[in-house]
Amino acid sequence: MKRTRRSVALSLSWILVLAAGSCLAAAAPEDFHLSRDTRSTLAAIQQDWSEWLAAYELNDGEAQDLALEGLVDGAAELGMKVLPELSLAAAVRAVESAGVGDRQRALRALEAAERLDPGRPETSFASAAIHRLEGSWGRFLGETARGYVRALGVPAMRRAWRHNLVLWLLTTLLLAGCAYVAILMLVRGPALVGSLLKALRRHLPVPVGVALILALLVWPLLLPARVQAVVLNWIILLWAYCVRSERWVLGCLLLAFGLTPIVLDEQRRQVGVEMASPVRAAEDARDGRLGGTVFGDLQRLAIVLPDSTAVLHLIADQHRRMGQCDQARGLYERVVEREPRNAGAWVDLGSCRFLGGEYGQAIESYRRGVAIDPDLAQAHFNLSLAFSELYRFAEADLALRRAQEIDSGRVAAWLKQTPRRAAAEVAAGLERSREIRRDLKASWVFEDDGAAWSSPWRDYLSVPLALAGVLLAALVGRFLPVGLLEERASPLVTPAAGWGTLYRVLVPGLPDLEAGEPLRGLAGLVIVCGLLLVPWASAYGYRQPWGYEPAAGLGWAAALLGLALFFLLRWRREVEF
Amino acid sequence: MAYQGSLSDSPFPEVLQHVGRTAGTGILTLQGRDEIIGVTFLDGEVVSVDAVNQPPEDGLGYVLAVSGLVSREDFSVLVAENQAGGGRVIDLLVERGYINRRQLLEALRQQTLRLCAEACSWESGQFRFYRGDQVSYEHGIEPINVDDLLAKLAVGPERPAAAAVAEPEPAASRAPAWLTPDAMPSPSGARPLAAPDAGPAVEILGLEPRTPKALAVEMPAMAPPAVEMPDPEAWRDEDEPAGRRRSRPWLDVDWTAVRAPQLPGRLLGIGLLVALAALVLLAPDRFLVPLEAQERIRTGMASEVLSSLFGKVDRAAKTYFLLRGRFPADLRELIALDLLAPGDDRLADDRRLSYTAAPVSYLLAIEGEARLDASTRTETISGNFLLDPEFSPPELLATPPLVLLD
Repeated sequence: MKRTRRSVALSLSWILVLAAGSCLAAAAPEDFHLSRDTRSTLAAIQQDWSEWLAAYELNDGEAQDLALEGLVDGAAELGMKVLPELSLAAAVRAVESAGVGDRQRALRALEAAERLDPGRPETSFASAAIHRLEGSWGRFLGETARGYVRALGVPAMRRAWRHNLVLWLLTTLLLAGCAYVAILMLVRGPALVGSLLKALRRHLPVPVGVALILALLVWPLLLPARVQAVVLNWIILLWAYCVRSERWVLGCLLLAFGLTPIVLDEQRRQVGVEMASPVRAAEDARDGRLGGTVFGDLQRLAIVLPDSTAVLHLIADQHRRMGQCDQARGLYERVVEREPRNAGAWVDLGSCRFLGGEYGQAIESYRRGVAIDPDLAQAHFNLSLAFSELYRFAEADLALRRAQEIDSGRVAAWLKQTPRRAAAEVAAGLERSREIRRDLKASWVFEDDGAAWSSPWRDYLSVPLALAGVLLAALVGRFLPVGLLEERASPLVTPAAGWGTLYRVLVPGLPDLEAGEPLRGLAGLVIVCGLLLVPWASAYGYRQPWGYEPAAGLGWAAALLGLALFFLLRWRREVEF
Repeated sequence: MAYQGSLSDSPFPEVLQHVGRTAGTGILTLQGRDEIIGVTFLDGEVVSVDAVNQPPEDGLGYVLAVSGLVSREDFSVLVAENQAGGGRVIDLLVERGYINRRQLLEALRQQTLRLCAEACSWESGQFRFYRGDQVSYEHGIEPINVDDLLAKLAVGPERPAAAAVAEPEPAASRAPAWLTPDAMPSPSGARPLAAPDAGPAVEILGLEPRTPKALAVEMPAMAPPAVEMPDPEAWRDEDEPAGRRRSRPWLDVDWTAVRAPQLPGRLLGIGLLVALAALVLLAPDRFLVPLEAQERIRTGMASEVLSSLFGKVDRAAKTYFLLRGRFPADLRELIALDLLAPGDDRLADDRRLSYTAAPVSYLLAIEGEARLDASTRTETISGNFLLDPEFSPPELLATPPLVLLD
């Protein structure tokens, strides 16, 4: 009941935000109003997609190309570069066609996918699937590898990988650490049990002593965190029987246990923010990705962070890109009001005024921009355009020369790409997605911490517990009666040859702990645990935000290959010795 | 990997030199045909040597006896007392005033040389160096440089002046002639039973004194000693009372009790490994965040993992809608199209996702747990300009173009 209430509380804020977003989307708020022209372009994109699908079904290549051109042009009209969702759908269509043996259409669809969103990892994965269906295994592997490389270039995917890598590393370290303690019990356990039994034998019958020792070792199973409690208990008991480097490993393991929840809490906050649709929309706008819900999501962003100047700036830039200068202008004015030293906003405000024919005001805005950042080439270039419109050619020439001095290459490009003498954009607001993420995360942390059920001391409880564990272990080791330490020794657990060789090869860490090389032993365990967890990580961790799945089983293949190689090397070294 | 190998390939002096050169700290174990010797190194210098199967009377007792410092009888009494009262025999020797500290250290040094000399005679066997950060040895003992040790061994150990007491023959029976004084009655091939107080290396290594049977079980590579069962009193006085022999503590060791603790320790270690694997597979979040007090972190993490899964399903379902004009009837359709991975219809703890499609929307939840929170999500095509026909009404497209007459 308590847990359910917490879950509800945790998600309530987001539900409210989303609900509010939906209501306001219906009411078309002033922050993100779509003009009739924009809606018309969006409708045209929708229609072009339907035409592409129909042409694909009819295998009409010309109509497909025409529809494709319409889609790309439609996105460009809105100042966007790519249509990722349509690209994904085209890639799926390609694999479907390949599945029924229509290679020609499959390749055509794949080309369309690449055209709609160049460099997309999903397109490579789809291409790999097509090669797999055709039995071209070399190309399949090549395209799969290409897909992964492309995925590294997509920020959202890169972030998901980074988070999963942290998760995998922490799990690997802790699992390897626990396995280390278990193997330490194999090696040092007999000495521990033996010395305890020796002490107890003086006062108690042997069976009672054995029962007591067993109880001492496993009593933490009664605690809530059973396995970890047992590990902690064993660390404390084995501490006295370990050499210094082993104690270091045990101490670090305890600290890792203590810090892991805090790292994961921080990580899940980051993930929550990064996965939020408004944040994704901000990044889509920055990268020119025209998704189906990008406008609604940007609108939600404005609702979630109503006081964020970065959000205002970003939305203003997006309006301006889409040619909705009336909306953009009002937003820019609010931005410069809050951030008078924002040169980019001044310049883009000037561009809105310029497009509205208010050249005098435009010049004023550009001059404010130049005053703040004299090296802003866009400001000088736009200033030259405005002066030209007012027939002040000498000043225009001067401003243009100044812009060329600052960045002649870009000025040449602006002159070439803007035959109608359109203003150059700064679009600094589109680059503020990182700041927006930070603001969003800050507001989320505030909501969480303010909740009645949240208390920081509970979140950080694991750290003092870990430190107490280290301290207790050291104290027990220090003050343990001398008699109990008579057998602080590493017994020869395994014989030198025969099955002992096999045992040492297959149980990583054991021969190294026997040989007094604990760090090497831990490294072996980390490698094995890490490889074993590779396939597990994809099922347990945060899902990759890609739309098309690469071939299944690659994780297993990598893990098995790695393990085979690892044990082969161990076998060779063992045999050599 | 540990430094190890066969004495037939690398003779003992060579092994000593290697460890000495590498300034190793740890214990070098030599496993001969029917004896195990442990050489303790500190930074490449020898600080102690012990034989596992050699009782104190055959080791330190012999050295002290031939030095004329402690008689065999006195030493045996001390060993018996030690067994009853605990502690170390060597401490008892000093406490009782038989010898002083300096004499003790010298005797230990003699013992070291004697055992090294014995090991030098081994032509077969295995060795392994157990490296460690710290080793245990008698306080005050002067470490012996390996080169010095080898030089001394080349001329034989520094023998005590009084050699009236017979020295026990080394177990390998291949000891150099100078190790076996003529006057000494040899227990030829006899393998003495181990004593529980076998010396510091035994303690460090945890090498419990073993019966030949135990050795055969633990070290199958070794050929079982083709010798008779030992007679540890072979070199003692013939007229020693039989009753006293029987009461000797090393004969009264409860072997079952000594060896029994090995099993629980190992079983517990294996048990923990199994429990860990099960925990990681069945409840990974509880493995990483085990405390009940940190449930908020666990819940929050699970919620974000679920969100990422929902996001993926949403992307797949809407791609499907783009192609078919409807949402799929089942998540398996999305898996078949590779829009989802095979495991994406369930969570890591094997709870399945429940998916219900409607013409323009779908409901996604955890099976049997649909409720009004983040674990249940409804998605529609509303607001998506690619899917929603009402987002941009058709009349927008039907707008007649503006015709300029001029």
